[in-house]
Amino acid sequence: MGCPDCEGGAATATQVEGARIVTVGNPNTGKTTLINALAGSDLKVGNWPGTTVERLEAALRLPQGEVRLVDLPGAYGLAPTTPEEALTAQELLRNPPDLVVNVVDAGNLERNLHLTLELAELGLPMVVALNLMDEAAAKGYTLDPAALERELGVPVVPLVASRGEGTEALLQALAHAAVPRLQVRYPDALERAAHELARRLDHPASRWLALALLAGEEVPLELDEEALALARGLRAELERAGIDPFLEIENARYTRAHELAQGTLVGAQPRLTLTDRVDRWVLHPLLGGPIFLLGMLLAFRFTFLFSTPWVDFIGTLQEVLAGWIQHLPLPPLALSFLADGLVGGVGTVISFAPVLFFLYLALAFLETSGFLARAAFIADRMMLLAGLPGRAFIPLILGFGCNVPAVYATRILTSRIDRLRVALAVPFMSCSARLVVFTLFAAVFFPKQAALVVFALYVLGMAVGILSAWVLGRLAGQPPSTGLMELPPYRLPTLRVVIKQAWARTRSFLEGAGGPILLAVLFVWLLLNLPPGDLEHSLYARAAGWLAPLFAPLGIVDWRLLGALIPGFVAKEVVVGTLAVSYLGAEPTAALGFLQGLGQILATLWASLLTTLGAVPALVGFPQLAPPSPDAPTALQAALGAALGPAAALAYMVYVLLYTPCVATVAAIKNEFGRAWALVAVVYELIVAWALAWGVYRLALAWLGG
Amino acid sequence: MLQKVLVELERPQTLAQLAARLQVEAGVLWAMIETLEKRGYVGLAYSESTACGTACTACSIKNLCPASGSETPPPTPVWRLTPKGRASLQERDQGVS
Repeated sequence: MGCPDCEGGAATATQVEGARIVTVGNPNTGKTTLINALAGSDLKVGNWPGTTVERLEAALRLPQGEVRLVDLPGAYGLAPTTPEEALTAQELLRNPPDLVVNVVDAGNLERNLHLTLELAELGLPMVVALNLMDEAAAKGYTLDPAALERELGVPVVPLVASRGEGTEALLQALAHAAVPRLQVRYPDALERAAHELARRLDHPASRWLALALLAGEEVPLELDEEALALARGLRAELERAGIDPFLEIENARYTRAHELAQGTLVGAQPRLTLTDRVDRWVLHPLLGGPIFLLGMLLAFRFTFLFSTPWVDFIGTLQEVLAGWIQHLPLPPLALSFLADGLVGGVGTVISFAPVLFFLYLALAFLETSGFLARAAFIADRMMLLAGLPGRAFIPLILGFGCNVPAVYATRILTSRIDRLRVALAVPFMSCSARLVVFTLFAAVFFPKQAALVVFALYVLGMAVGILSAWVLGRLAGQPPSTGLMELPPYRLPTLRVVIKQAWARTRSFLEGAGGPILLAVLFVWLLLNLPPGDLEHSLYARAAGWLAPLFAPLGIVDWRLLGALIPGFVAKEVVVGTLAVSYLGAEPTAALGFLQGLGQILATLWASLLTTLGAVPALVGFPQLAPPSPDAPTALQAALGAALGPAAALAYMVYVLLYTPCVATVAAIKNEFGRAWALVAVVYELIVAWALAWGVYRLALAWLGG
Repeated sequence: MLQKVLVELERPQTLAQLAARLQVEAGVLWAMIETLEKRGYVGLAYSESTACGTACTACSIKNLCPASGSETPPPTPVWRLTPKGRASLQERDQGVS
């Protein structure tokens, strides 16, 4: 390539025997491949002195004589931010080469040209090696190297170094290397300051050095104090005029690189990826929210359809075991302890497993597929609409998993008021523990719309949380702020990864919460049996009875339901276990023969398998292939159904959703904001829960009847 | 161009959306964000510290949490203006007016 546009450039250095040529470029532009292709077996590999950074060097025999070719470490810019960039800048400035070969990735032209423009300011003869032309073509780009050559005023050689294509042309172009004609034009005030400072600096790269000093960068050269003082003075002057030199310099370089790339790319047709196409819908300003909610609804529907048969199966196992225990030659109190306390307690813990496993399965799918990250983005936008800091979505979304880390995650917010109002909103987000309560009640009182009811509860919790934070924000007068988010591409998760993740989380939940649940259930069993044999007048019944007047307006008067709310303060998971012990403890368990029990277990197992398989088409709205389990409701379900009506059940679920956060969450709020705010959180949420449960009860009464 | 990026950080959007708005490649925008981040104009919306401590054990979506101390990098990095970035925009506005 003759480069007619380079005539009149600086005298080339390649005619000098022993000239030193360096290759410079962004990382992963194929510099090493190029130097291998040029040097062949003459390559020497070592380290840069005093570093572990690899140094490649080769002797090249050209028609003009022998030259040394040195590969400099990959760099995005000459203002060093990595050891590699520092080394490159140091070599170029302290030991200027005779010629620079700038290796550019043709498929990422604009980004690469930013460095090219910096190199152009060093005042060194240069050749551009436009490498990876094949990858650029695969991306749909057509390039015009001659256009770039005209703009830069240096030879531009298209290459595919990995195949050796264009390397001969590059060697020939070295003879026509020139100091680039193109210089970036900065704002006038900055140009004047750079010119004044450059005149004071005695160096071939004085323009680049002047700009770096004005931008506040450290330069790898020893400069006299007078020059540095001049740089500081000029910089201060610019800043007083409202000019941020760093931003203006970078801005001008990025803008010029953009123009150059636009002029070089001919008929570029960047191809839309599948992620781009799907995101057009999923991130749509109007459709994004409904799609996100639909995704979550499907997740709940999946959880219900697939977990219900297995919850029933565990219920049957529990009943059969309790029946078998009645055959043991033990006193009645010991039999009650084993059947109601131990089997009831352990059974409750295990009965969480199917619900949580299927929920975690759905969440793992949404997470690994990239959908949950989009949900976070949609939530981010919703936060802004609600006048919340955009990044408040992180603790709020995490609240759906567990409120405790969500409270700690408020640390990502800078303002204390923001942190506090989001922390007070977090407990309204329905954590996994509450799902178990909702599952039980929804299955008993709203069997046909169970998923919808639970979904509505989640949405209610979210709405109350956001509204609460918004109101507190309005009171504190906080302006909203937000940011830019990088989203991962969509992926089809593998079944193995999803199952592994869901199982690990289910196990972690059961291991973490299992012990406390079991202890709480056994403690409740003890209180129920003091004095023995009279549940209605037990310590537990009397303590729970004190709450009755408070909850009568919500339609909840049964002491068993009220009593379960008290240990629920320790952990929400305990509510169902407590209900099981207090309801089932009153019913004498009938003894069951071994074969009869085994028959029941096998029949339920078969029914559960059939129902699970039949649930697949039901997930997308088609009727279930297999009818739902024909079994009668479990003993606990039947007892609950008799204890209250649908309206009161709805009020109970809303109360459980919103009432005081569990002890661990209160402790987290205390740690983060102090004792007083922890107390405020408890009182505030008790009041909100009661008020909304009352409102829901009255509405449901009018709609559903008692 | 960089100032436009700073201004655009005032509203929630994805990297791809902003790249399309500025008509630059996503890789170039990524480089700009890195430049701004290294110079302290923008920062990730969370610290690298394990803010959640050990409380994540029972959390079902802890991998989504950028502060969970997870071994894998957070899938959703979020950048925001730092006080320096905000001050730079304000200075520029004052200088213009």
